[in-house]
Amino acid sequence: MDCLHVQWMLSAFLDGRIVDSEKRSLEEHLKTCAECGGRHAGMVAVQTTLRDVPVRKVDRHLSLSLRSMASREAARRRRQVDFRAKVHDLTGRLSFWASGLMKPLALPAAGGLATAVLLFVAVMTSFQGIISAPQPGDVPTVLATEALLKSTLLDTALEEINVEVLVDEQGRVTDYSLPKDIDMAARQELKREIGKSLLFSKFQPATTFGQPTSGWVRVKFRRTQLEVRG
Amino acid sequence: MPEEQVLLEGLRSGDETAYELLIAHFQQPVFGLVQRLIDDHNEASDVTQEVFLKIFRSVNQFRGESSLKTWIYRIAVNEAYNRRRWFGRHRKPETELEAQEPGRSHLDHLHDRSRSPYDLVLNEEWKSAIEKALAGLNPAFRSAVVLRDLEDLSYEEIADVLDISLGTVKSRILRGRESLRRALIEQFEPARGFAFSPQPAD
Ligand SMILES: [Zn+2]
Repeated sequence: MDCLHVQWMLSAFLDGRIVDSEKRSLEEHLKTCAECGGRHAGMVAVQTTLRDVPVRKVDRHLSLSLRSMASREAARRRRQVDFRAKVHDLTGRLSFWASGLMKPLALPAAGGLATAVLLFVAVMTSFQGIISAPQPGDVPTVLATEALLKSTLLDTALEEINVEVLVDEQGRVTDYSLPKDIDMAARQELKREIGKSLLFSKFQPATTFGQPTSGWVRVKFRRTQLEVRG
Repeated sequence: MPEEQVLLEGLRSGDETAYELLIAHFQQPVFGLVQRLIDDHNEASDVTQEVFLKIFRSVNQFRGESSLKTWIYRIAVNEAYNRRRWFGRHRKPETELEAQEPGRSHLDHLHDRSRSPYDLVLNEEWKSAIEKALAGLNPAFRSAVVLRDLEDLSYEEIADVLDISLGTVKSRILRGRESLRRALIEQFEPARGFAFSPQPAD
């Protein structure tokens, strides 16, 4: 085995990726050849030193951020799954209805179509109302009330900022959006701050027809105080 | 792996426990890997968060052709690549390294005269030297060496993560280690300019 061949195999040799016969002649060569022996020692040193390089542990801040993000993403996923299930359910009901139940009523063809469209619109409308909930700026009514901020812990150096927050039916924050006019650099920092304070915020959930539901609320953050605007 | 399937089901249906489990299990491996792949350690937290966001958002696209671990590592390596700060600053054409023939540098000859110079150097010095060498390494070689020597992935897993052939894995690891070894020799070379020759005492 010549030196070039040995040097080509050294790395695979370190990882135990060469066959036994090659391994034996390579080991023989390393004993007798100073140059290849030196290279081998060098590679071993590189490998062991690499493993000694310290790596930072996940700190509390990163861990909290990851968990709050995971919680938001899980909620987001549930909304998607719910939406798909509801659409599926609705499609099922509509086709069931179309395929027979209404037929015995023997509506005139034109009348039947009009009824079908009307029913679809009605179902879709209430369905939309439930999943999308009141938008920011909606006037609260008896039927739909917006989420309210109950308490929060805030620590920000910024003067004032409006954040739109999605609150789920249990009063937990599942999503939020920052104003679009904030530049990227400030955004990262702000996301961290706002995310942190929202994690410790408690909201009273919005209601639709008296039932708690998810809904958006606009929260104004100020340096020393905060208020909730409808 | 059946547990993996259960976890994936949970992630796809928005089960909060599944999300927490994934974080708990992979936050340190991902954070560690990212630290080794980018030079600005302050950015590692941000990159790690982006990695997990990508994982959660694309979990429907995971088809189980690779293991969950290699899929997650692939996302992490790609996110690290996307940080131009790392890639842009140290971009080196791969051909440049390819052109270097092993065993032709005068440094090697100087170096090989001493039997084990590695024993002579203090451990701390080595650590900072290797970090510096790693930062200067071609990203393609760097990811291969990091996955092998620091994350302990098999050649097969590395091929999967980096989406390259086994042969390429083998040669990238070899060239990566070789470059690191050379970089170290170069860093310590000036120190060996001192020659202590015994002087007769007056
Ligand atoms: Zn040799």
